[in-house]
Amino acid sequence: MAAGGNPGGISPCCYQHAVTADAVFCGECGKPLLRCMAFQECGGLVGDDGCCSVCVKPQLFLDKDAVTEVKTGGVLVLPLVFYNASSVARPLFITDLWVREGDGPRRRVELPWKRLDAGGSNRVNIQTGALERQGRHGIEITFAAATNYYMREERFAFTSLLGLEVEQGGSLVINQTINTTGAGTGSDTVYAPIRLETMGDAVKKTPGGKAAELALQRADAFEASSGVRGYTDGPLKGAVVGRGARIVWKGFGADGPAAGPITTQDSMLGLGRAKTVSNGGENQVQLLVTDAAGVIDEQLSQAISRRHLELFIQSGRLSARVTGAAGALVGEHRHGADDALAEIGHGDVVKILPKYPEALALQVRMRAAHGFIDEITITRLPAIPEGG
Amino acid sequence: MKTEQLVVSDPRLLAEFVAPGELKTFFEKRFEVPPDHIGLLMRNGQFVQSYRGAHFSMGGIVHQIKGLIGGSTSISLMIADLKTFQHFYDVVARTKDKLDITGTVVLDLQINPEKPQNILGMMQQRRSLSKEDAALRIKSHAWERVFEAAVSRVNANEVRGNKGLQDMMQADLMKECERVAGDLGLMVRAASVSWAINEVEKQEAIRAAAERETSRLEFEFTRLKRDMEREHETTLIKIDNKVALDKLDINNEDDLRRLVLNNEIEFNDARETGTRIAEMKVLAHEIEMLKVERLGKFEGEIQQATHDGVDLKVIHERKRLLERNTETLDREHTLKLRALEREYDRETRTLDREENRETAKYDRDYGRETRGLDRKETRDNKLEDQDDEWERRTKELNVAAKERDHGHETRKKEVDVVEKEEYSRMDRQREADKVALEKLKGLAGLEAEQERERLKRRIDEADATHRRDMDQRKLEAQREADRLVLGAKMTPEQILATNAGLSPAVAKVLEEQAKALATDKTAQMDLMRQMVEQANRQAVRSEEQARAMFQSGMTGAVGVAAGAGGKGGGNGNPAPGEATVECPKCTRVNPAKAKFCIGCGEQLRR
Repeated sequence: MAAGGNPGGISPCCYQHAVTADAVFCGECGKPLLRCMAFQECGGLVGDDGCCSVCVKPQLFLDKDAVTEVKTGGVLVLPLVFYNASSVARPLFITDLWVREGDGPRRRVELPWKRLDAGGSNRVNIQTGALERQGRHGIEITFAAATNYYMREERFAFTSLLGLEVEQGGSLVINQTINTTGAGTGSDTVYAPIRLETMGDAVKKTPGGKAAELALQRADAFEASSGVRGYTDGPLKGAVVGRGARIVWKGFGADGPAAGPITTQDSMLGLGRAKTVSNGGENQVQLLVTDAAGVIDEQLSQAISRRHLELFIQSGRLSARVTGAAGALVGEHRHGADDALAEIGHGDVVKILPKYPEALALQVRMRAAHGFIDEITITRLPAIPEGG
Repeated sequence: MKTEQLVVSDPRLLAEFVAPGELKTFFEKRFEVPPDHIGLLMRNGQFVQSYRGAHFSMGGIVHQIKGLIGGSTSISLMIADLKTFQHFYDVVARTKDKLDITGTVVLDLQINPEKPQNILGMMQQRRSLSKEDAALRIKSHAWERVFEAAVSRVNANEVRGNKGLQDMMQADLMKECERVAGDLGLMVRAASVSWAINEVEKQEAIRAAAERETSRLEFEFTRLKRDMEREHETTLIKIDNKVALDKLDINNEDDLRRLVLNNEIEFNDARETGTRIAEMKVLAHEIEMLKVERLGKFEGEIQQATHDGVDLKVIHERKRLLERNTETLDREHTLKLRALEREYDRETRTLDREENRETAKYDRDYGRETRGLDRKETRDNKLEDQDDEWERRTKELNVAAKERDHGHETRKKEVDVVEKEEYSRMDRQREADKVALEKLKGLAGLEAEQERERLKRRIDEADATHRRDMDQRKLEAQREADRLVLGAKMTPEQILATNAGLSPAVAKVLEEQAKALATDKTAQMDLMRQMVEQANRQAVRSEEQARAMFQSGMTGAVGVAAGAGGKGGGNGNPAPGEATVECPKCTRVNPAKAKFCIGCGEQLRR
């Protein structure tokens, strides 16, 4: 989680300059201002991991009176409490929950609920296997949390480790220790709130009847491997697009858009027939059909909507929302009014006018290093000559 | 010492006592009982033991001396045949469908080797027991109980090959034999009945034979019929007529008969043609054979002639020479012909080239002239078009100018009309006011009424003011109650804001910003206080207003809250009167303190 006073590792100066609506870079440190997709509501900034510390602030607790009595070979039921600590009224959606005991496989737990309103909490019980082995048992609780803003959704996975000490010497003693080894909201603390002894009356419960908070850590490797974030197939399977990935535009001529990450207020890039923002329009990239010599084909250009396409990075994937009336072909699939959202992968070609696929297309290529995509090159086909 | 074998004297006997004379001898005598027999030894009328494959030694002087001393003993020996034997007898039984059927019963019997001495009970003359006597003891008991009982359950045509029936009879017979002769040392090994042909079976056999014969006849008939049909289909009858064709108009069978009887027509079987074809084939074969034979003979004669001195090789060589000469002449002729063709082609190609060159030259000249003419025409057309366009535009401009002038005049007229209307309306109003004033002056009595109305208005106004005050107080009280209720759930920052009179929604916005901007808890509270003051100064009442306040900039507050020690500059927008600097790259105006351009990220100062 975010460190206190420096949420998401973002400097305070960036927050100061992000208040200016059209600010793209921080005037103090010069870093690009990456706004949360729900910036209008939360005013938060995000880092390369795309996680807004204002919107996504889940907390996990082990409920009070968590363990009652366990004998050798018995199972342990852990009552968990999910809490949405978001300070703005942004709901969270807990979509999946996995439990893993020791080195065993992750087991998916069905959740009866999904929505977690800000300030609200939901409960769920998870059950361990039979604790027959003496020694320390590790239980890993991983869950996927999603935050939505209109049609967009960002998903993240968080994990927490729970250590259970099972001793056996005439009687079963379960000593539960919870280590907050992750970057917590405060300083690192070690809790040992539960110590169970099934012998006699030495059963101890959570002191003071309070729920114990479990430290949460972003499970970035799990996000990539399980498809919570990043691409699940294709040549860049398991790779995640960084929120600050540099987008390089090629083939747009001398007046083409400048390379850089997405720094708009709504963290989306608008592409269409209308003029660019710098020229008094509403788009970041203007799309017009031209011939080989760079002369504009007005008739075909009219078929492109004023705002035809919106590009954004969502859950570690480059995505597009096709808003144009004519639709667009992403790969071989046509996206339009009913199926507006499209995921764009490495090597995909976005054909702007499905009826005239050769008229104008955008070829997308990505550069990945160690499973992290830091540069996306979008090439216009046919390319406009540099002098044109 | 010689051993004598003891067996039954007659094969028809089942058991037999050995004659005493054979046993009493002066010299000792040895007897042997073979394995398929059993010897039963009896001493002094008591059965002692049975022996199978036994060996006895009897008589002799030693035994006699012993007999003299110890007294004599009566010894007798019975030999019984242990082999199974068969007994046949006929039975007659009545079937279920009341028909007497005859059969031959075969019984396999044997002496029970476990208790062979019991067969003594079957011996009547105390000498021997025949096999037939033993079998007959069973026959009479088994007749009714076994055969009649079993056969009466089936019909006459069901007895043959009926394995179940045979098994049942065998089992019953064994049971009966065990009952009758089980303690007499006799047992049944197997039993079966061979049934004679009964009447029902005879009739069925006759019927089956008749059916078979009928089927055969029917098959024969079908075959003949098929043969006839085939012959009918393949036979062609040729009719040779000796009369005029009009007489051959046959209407019925009688006409046909008449013609045949009169020998006016006769039928010829066309099958003769086939015979003739076969004969022709035979003839062709013979011709072929003769040809081959003649050829062989001729070759033989040639060989003979070669042997006799005619040198065919010389003839063949001369023939080959002639052929070679002919071939050479042919080739020479061909070569000459090709040379002529090549020469002709060369001349033709030269002529073609010259013609093509001339044609191309002509085309070029023609094309040049045509293009020159086209260009000239295009230029002329363009000039004409430009003139037309200029004229058209001039006309349009004239028309537009006229329209404008006309419109200006029209509008001027309209304004004049409106002004005149306005003046007349004002005159009318003035006159009306004058009349009204005069009326009011004339109505002095109404002044008291006006005073009353004035007082009433004042009272109403006072009431409205009071209601507003009360509503305001109620609202404040409600807000305080809400604040108290919400305070339980609020953070200290929110409580601070709400205590300062801000709404919970505004307090929440301020808290978010404070959290986002402050470095630690203390700075967060300081920032919160300043924000609250700012919000109160700007009379922020709603969430939107609060957000707008932050959009416009919390210059002073943020500067402190950033914990940057007066790194003011706020949100990047230069404050009024603040020094600014223009970005050399994107020309955006930035505060002078900014290190980077907030528009393009260009470094402004180090």
